[in-house]
Amino acid sequence: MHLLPRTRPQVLSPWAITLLLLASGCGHSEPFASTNHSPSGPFTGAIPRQLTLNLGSDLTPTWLPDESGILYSYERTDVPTSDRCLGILPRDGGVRTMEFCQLAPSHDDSADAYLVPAVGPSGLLAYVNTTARRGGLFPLSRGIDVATLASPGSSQRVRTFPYLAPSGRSHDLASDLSWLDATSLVYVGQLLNYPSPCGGCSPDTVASGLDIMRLDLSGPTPVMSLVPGTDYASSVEAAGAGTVYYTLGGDSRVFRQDLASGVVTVVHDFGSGNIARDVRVVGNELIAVVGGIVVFGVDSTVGPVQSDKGGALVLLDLGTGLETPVPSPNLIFRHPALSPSGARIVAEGLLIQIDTVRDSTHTIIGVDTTLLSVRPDLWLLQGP
Amino acid sequence: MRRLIVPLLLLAAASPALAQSTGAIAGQIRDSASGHALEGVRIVLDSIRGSTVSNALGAYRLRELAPGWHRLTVRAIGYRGVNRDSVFVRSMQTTPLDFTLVAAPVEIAPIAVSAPVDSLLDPLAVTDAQTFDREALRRLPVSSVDEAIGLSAGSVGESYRGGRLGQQAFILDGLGLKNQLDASTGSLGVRVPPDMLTEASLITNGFSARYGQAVSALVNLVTRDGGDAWHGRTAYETDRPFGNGLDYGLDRAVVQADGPIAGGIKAAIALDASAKLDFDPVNAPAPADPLDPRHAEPWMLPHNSGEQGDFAGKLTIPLGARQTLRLFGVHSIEQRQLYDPAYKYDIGLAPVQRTTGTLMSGHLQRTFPRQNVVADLRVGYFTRQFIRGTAVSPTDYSFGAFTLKPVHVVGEDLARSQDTLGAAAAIPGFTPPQLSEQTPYGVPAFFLGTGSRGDLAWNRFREIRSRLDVSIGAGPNVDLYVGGELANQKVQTFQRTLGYLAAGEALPASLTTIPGTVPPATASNFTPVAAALYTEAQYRKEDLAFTAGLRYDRFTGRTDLPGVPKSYQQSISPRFAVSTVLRGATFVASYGRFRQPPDYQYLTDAAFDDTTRTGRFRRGNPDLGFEKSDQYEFSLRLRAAQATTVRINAYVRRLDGLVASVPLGVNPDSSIFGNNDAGSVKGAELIVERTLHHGWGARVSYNLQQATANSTNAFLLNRLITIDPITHDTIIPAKTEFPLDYDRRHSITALITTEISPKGGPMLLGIHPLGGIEAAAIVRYSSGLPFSRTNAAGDSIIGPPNSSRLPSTQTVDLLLRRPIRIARLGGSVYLDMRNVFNRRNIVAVRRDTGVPTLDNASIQALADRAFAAHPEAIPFESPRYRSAADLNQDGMVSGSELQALYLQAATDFAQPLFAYGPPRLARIGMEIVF
Repeated sequence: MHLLPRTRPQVLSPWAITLLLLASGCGHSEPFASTNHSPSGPFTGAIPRQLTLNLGSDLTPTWLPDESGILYSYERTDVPTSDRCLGILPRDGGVRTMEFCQLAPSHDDSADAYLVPAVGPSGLLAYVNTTARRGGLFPLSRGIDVATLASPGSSQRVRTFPYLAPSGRSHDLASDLSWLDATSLVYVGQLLNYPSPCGGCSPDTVASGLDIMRLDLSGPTPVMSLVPGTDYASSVEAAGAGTVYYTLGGDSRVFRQDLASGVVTVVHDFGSGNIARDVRVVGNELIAVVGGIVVFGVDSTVGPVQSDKGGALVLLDLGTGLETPVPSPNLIFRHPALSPSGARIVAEGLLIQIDTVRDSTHTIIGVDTTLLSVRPDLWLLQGP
Repeated sequence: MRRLIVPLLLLAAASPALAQSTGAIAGQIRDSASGHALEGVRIVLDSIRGSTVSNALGAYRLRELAPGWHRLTVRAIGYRGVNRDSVFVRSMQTTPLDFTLVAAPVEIAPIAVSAPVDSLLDPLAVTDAQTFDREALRRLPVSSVDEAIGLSAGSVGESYRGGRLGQQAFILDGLGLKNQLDASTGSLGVRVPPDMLTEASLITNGFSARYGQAVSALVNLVTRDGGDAWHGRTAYETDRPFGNGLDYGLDRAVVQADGPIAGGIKAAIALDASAKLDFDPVNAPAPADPLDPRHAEPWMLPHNSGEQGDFAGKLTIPLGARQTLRLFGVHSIEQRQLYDPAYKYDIGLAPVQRTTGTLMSGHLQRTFPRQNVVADLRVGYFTRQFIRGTAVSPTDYSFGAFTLKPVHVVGEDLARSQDTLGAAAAIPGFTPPQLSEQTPYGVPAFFLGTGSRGDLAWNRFREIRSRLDVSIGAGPNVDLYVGGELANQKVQTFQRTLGYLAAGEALPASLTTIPGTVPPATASNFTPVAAALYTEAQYRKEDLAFTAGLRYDRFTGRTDLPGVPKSYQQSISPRFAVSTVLRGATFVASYGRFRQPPDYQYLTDAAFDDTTRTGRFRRGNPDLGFEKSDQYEFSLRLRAAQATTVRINAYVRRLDGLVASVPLGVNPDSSIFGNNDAGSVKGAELIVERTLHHGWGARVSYNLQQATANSTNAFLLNRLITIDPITHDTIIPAKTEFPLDYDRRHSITALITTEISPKGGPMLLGIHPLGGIEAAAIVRYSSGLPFSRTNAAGDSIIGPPNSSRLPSTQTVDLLLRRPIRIARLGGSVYLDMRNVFNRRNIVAVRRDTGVPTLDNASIQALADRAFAAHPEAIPFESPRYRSAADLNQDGMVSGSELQALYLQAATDFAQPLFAYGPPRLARIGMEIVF
């Protein structure tokens, strides 16, 4: 089809040329984009501040080395398997900035848990990784994995459970991972029990500390060794390359051991009847959970067992030995973590109700502590 | 009338049946004094062509000419020579050109003459063609050959006369060209820049026995040769200045040049590059919810950009006086981001695709004037490669939507190497998709993130095609054409789905409620061979002309299946036409049988979620045969006035052996491809054309059509089979015909052009600001296409297939062009607007509702189901938490707060974006002609 003959241009049109040149210099419009819809700050401003409101459990918080955030393990409530993931909260609280969950479709029907994370001085992340069949009791797979914080899924398994420790006891799992230095860490080897509180009740999982273990990752093959004298340890914290602080089940004392010499020192005693655990140390400051809802006993089949729902946070000045309780009305805590600057504390917290108990003459004869929640949330508290 | 008929008869005496890619010049040479025919006069064409001599009737003919402008020189001893410049030849047409020579005893300089050209009534032009030449392509509001061809009567996009996509073939300079692998679902892969073309035409019937591979139409493209002097043009167009609502991120640049190189060699090159930030804009209404980002910016879709680059070049090399070698090459690239509504808020995970195509061809033409024979040898290499998947890295734009670098997809190496073993494991780089956390609603529903869908598809089609065509002038009344072609092809395919999972792994519950496993990767690698022989003759008997042709086609299918013997399909297709001149009109009756091999994709298994070995699959059929059509057509052409022509075509086409998916075994969800569908297309076309005359011209076409076929599609058949309640017999439905998908009953297209003279319009400050303005408008009305209604679940058809109709569509496109002059260069500025009135055309609907949108109850049900799946409260620290939704500010979004969010998310997700056609589009451009 030849609709139009070519016509000769007649008029110079500089305005048109200018318009075209300007047009080519303009930028294009942009299509709509997704924006961040999450709140930018914490939910509340007060201290103690509830950092998480998850209906599942939020556990074992630890500070990132630069104190920019809080790494912890949280329970997913959107999957029937109650998987536990690792997440990072901003240092003042707010929306998680990182989430690491087991998302492989092949794990849809298994309960996968990433627990007790610890970030070392070189930025390496260690965590316990367990996988259990959905509805099953025993984990099918469990171990300590090491990865980078930037890519936690690209991990290497450095310790598989269970194993028979040099103490002759079988370790089912680990707690209190803590980096001694860039290539070695310590942890508490645990025994897992599944007692049923009543006939027909679902069994509960009770972990009991057995030994403190050291894991050296500097060679091609991880080398595990026992830290002697740590029978029935309940917590451990590395303080530099050669020193660990730890507590023992049912014991009110905090111990320090020089790993090179094996010399053990009692750092502090919180007093008879006050079971100390979850010890953490930053510089000259030590924090531990003391007292509270904790029971230590010896089970006829499994031996010593410490059942712990939480207790009070107590700061200790290692220089003066001065104890300072952390004020926290209506809360009990577990697994506190001191920030690298020592200025902040984050811990698992459970709401409690304290009622006075009176006799028939209305005389106060004691207090009754009732747990208002069973799934801990994270709380931010003021440090010393 | 007698004055008209006699020259035409003389013309017919010397006119050949014309191939689709070439034209002819023919006429008679007389003595000016006596009026006697002159025998032995030499007619020389161009400087690089051969020549011919007139016969005893004074008739001459130059055949197999490339369309375009030519120059003739007529010389005879004792006569003054005559030169005729600018003789325009169109493909499939004979340009009549008579000469009257003046006796001159001594040789003197030739004179230039002109003669009226009217080929409309040529009775031997039996082909039904609608042609757009280069000038029309440039001046109409179209940007590509496809858009121009789509303006032809009987076309619905790339469907012609009711045929489905892929039932057409391309002819590029006489060489057949087709994406034989997946033409029904994919593009050709190469695009010839419009500036490289002399003309493009759609041929819907009577196509020569030379060509096959099509049952509905041929798209004939003729490229330009280089000219005698260097000319060219460059143009740039954009929509940048228009801002939101009209700026869809368009940039297009065109460069074309042609001219002589050396030694008579001429070259032509063209580059056409375009990119759009929204390659496929839609006129969908803005959502009401302010949380939806489209509420404020409803214009462009993200991750929907695309860029195209087409590079073409041609060398015309004279090899002596009788031979001409033409070398042509075109390379095209198209890269697309594909908007996926599920990834609206994690847009980088939506798929991308890249298609590249290359065609290189050589054409050697030799003339034998004494024997009146022209031989054409053509050899072409064509390759098309396609890949779709997840982009390895985010798109990095360089200029507008141009990235100027190839997009790569995850697993590309596996796909290219067709490594099905390596692809059995989860493919590195893929991550399982999760419900997005990035949405304004936060709730885990509808939208995906974290990982892509895990699809990976790759294929490559290669072909070396050779053909030889010989045309023989066998006496004054008979022309013969013989030839054949051979195409050696290679097909390679690879498909993998759910690449983030290992093959054989159980399908995650989040994907399906039906247990199944991840299908393995599928691949094929085979080398079909297609061959054809043809002969055609055209004979004139007084005012009657007869054309008859016979074509033999053959192809082999899959050759890679172990234990399956090599087999082939073959077919013979006759074609006839008779034409005559009746009182100023030409009447043509034609019959043609057409055959095309099926898309080779139907010979291979398909790897979809429900494919092989999962219990639900679509299996390829290596024994598929030809798809067939038989077409009967009557056409009438007449000149109603000096500048007005009328064409009327009526046709019936019987379709048979159409590929359909049919049930396989007893599994109702399993199917295999077979040549099982048959149908018919009946229609009539009226085309009235007025060439530009007194400042305006027009072409108006109306098409009335009914296209139906029976349907053996497994999905439909399973719903149509019933059990007799009394006898319990299985009742299989009769072969009732239902409307075909492209059964457009009515369509009207009007192309209107106007021109103001250079001194026209009012004068302002000494100039005529409107002088020289050219305007072209395209007005289209099309009745709606059919579709099938289904129940809400989508698994049962309501009523007969395709018994419902979309609403009609209407568009008005406009191009205004004003010539300019810059220094010594000419050119123009232009404004090109499509869908000027911004009509919201509905091009698709939901099958369950019959309208684009989902009703409120269904959206509520969607929301309720999503809430039931995830009723858990969202705590403050979760990235899913939305403060505005936490009405009681307790740090948790829960209960009714959640339900409201799910409803908003469902409303967003159910938006029918692609149910609407393009919005108003505009671009301004400037071209410089040199």
